[in-house]
Amino acid sequence: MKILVPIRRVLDTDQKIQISSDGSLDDTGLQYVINPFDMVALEEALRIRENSGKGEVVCAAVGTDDLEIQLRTTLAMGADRALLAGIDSQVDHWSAAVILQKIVEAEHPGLVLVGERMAVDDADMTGSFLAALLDWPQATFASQITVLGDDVQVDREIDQGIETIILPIPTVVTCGLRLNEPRYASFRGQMKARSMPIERMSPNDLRTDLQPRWETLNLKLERSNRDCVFVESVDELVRSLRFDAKVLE
Amino acid sequence: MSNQPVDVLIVGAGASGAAIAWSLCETRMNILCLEQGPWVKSETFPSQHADYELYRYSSFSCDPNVRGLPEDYPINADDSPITPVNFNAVGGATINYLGHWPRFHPSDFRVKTLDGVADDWPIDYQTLEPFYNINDRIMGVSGLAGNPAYPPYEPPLPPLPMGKLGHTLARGFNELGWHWWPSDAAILSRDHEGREKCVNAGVCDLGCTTGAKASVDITYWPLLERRGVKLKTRCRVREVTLGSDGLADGVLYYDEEGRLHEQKAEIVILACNGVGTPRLMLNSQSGRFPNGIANSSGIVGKNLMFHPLSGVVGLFDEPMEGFKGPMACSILSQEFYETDPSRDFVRGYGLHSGRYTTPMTYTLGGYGTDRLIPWGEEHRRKMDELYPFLAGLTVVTEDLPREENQVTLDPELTDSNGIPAPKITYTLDENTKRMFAHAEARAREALLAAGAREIVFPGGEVWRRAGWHLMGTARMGNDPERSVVNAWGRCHDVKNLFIVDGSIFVTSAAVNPCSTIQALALYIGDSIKKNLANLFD
Repeated sequence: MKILVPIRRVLDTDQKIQISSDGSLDDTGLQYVINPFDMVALEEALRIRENSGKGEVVCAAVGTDDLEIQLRTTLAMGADRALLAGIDSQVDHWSAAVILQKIVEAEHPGLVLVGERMAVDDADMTGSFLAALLDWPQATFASQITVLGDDVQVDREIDQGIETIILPIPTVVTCGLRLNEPRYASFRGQMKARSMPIERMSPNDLRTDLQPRWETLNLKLERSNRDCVFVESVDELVRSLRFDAKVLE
Repeated sequence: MSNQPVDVLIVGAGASGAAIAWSLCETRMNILCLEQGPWVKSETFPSQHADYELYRYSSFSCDPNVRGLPEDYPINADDSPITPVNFNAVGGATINYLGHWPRFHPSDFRVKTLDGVADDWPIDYQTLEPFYNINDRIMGVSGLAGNPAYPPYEPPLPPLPMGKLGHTLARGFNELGWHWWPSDAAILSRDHEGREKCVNAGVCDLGCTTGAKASVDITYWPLLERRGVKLKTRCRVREVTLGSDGLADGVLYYDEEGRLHEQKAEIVILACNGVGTPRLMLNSQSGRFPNGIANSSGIVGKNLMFHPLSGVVGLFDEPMEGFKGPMACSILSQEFYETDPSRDFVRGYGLHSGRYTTPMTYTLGGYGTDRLIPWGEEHRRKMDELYPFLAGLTVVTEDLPREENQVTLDPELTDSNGIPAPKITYTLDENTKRMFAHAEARAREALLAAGAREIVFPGGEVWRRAGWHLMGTARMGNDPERSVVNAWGRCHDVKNLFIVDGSIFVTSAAVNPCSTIQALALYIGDSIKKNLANLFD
């Protein structure tokens, strides 16, 4: 079975970002990583391929050429092919899903495994948009995935506990962090990956007209400096909490 | 014992080892770092205790021969006027360094072309510039943009306060029309990325309890651990082993209980400083490399450079408050940094105004020096009438590489695992002596111009316990007969063995090397990433 894994990149969430004076993101010296949820989806795809002894894992990224670094990492980890749909502008979840739909229609995967959300904005939309556009079934927030012939059994993490459902293939599954622990990308794998092609396509190739649904107006950092005020008495503390901090009625 | 092989093995968890691990973790390779020291915790730093100064003479001495902790290896420095100092822990000497953070000048990379001495580097300032900037951000560097001695760059944080001492000495430099600038420091002037700013406790050499001083255990390592880089502490590497294909195939190391482990790796990176790295290489003997791994040139261990230091101290009418604020860095003058043909020496030096040391250390001979003040009445007089009113200038000289200055293996001395210890053979260069004479005279002039009533210590003495900067012992170059590693840190002889610490410096410049060491490590990491497909070609 062919498995498609969409790959997105996010800034390493352990690093602090800064905003330039023009309101854009200043990413000087910061490292981008594969969205951790997508990494779990890739690991799951590799394991399904390895356990069944056959199939193909194809990774697809939508965005700028910078994504080539992350796609090479997926090849080093063991993906069979990597596709880059090159788009210069910022890609929102809807646009990504529209392009992924075209890729799915060209590639005919049995499973699309996608990270359940983006570490950068916590939005869990791409997988669901894609399933809707394809008119495929979907299972979100997967914590276990088992392929059963022409069906796939998925344990979903829901508020009440774990829900087990069975879906017919083809289907979209969005993956949570409990699925697995992603592997390293070995040095030998890296050497091999460097000589593998990144298959490139443009929106024209995909015959799609992008109509982004969101626009970034500006960025600002949440104020993180805590002010420390020393007060002399409990009364003063209460007054301050009530009138200065306005946290008491 | 034989362990699971890894992709990248880094020996040493200090400044350079942490930096290259960060650069390489982007690839998601399996990276393991072995460190002979332990994690140190800021709660245990001497500055938490009233008797903090005593630790400078025992477990927190900068001299490993004085500390003598299980993780330390002895260094025989009997044949050297300067003894190497270090710290063996996660963070390495960034734990007890002072965080003074000047960059190299562009001229420092081309001294052969400019001055006909030593050798040019195979890379230039521009090559390192982006990596200086990245590292400054991760470490958290404070400084003032616009220093005319450098190409333009902007430190990420505003400068630290100069203090009364800094302001006073700056007036002297102004009087003489000499260059000076507030020092860049890897110490936070503002809260930065979860760390709190400096509280001016002033004992940076005893570990920074606040975490304002950038030591890599609190800057890089937390990032690395969350990115899956593994770190094993109290593991001392005995030798790098060579495979039948002529590549390094891993290392042999002892764990805390003294058990010998075999650790295989695809890539081995040495980050053990300018003494530890040549020692390890010289100890890694094989049929192919009887004189130490990657040493077909025979120059591993040679060309050891320190920055010979000297100081001049003046007595002022007002208290100088030298103990307030970060020790090493207030202002520095680089008026005499570049070669001037009218002088009787080549290259140059910096005049650094560190702040003054704490009372007991002053009493016991000074920081890095041994000028004991007497007991009794004279003691009282010196503490009352001198100590508060002192300000000094430290002379930091460029050391030129000479093959006879070297690290070899001591025939008898070993560490607690029985691994041969390093021996230092070093003499001061004639050029350095002439530079000292010039520099000390200029320092006296500057102190008097700043209003010093008298010069209480005129110089003339090289600081002994001050071999902080260990450089040149496995140097970079394009010629395999005259250098150990190529322009991106790869050994000419062993193509999966890299060196990223101060050993690879071609020349020493006349500034503290840590920012350049880390910029180099990041640059080498970047080169490895770019060349992954044909790394061993």
